[in-house]
Amino acid sequence: MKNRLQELRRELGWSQQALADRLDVSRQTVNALETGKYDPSLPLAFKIGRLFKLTIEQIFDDEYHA
Amino acid sequence: MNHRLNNTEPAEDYPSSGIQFLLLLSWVISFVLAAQLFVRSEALLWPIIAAIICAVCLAAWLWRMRRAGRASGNATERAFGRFTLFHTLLILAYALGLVLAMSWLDGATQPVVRIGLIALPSLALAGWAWVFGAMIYSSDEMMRELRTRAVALSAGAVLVLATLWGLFASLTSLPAFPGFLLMPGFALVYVVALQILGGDDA
Repeated sequence: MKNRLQELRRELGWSQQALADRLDVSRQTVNALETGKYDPSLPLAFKIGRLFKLTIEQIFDDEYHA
Repeated sequence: MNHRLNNTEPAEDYPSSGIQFLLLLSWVISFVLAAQLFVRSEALLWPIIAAIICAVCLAAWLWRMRRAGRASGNATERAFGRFTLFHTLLILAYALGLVLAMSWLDGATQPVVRIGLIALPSLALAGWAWVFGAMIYSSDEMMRELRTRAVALSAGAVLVLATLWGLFASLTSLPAFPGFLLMPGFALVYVVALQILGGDDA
């Protein structure tokens, strides 16, 4: 699944570690999320959305087009 | 989904997991050698040499674990470092307890001492289960999933290998597999599985 996590993080000038601290996850998890190697659970996706004040759809794209 | 972790932003002063893994293997192998030599051989020189190598590798491994812990940025990463450390110390306690029980059980006549000798390694195994329980409820879902996957893979691999051994033992002259070695075997395969899956901080 594609996402804008890296772009949003860089806009705020945060490191992966800083984002990991805010999400209460490890830096490895942030890296895996940014590179699309791991898709977050709904609770984590909502947490990310709340952190960046965006909806889940504005951050994650499942590339499904009806 | 591939969880192998590449392209991570480099953390300052984070020890190489390859060297860490080599140190871990070195002290585990030298520990097993020392224990085997202690139980089987009459001379004490070789077990002592193996024990010294084990102690040096273990000390280096623990020092690097501590360094990795300091380099880790947040509580979640430190928690997973602690899980690895506790698992290692507990399996070490289990193996030590096993060596002591095997050496002294025949000579121990009092029931309390005999029960104590058997309980010593069993307590370490209970500790292992407790650490797994804590890991399952940790806050980092990806690390949790990686480790759960490593547990599943290693449990499956050890079960298959032990079953094959049992099959060959019943059909050929192969000696029966000592069941008490299943846990250390599982621990070793678990460490390798963690390395392959890429979620290891050992």
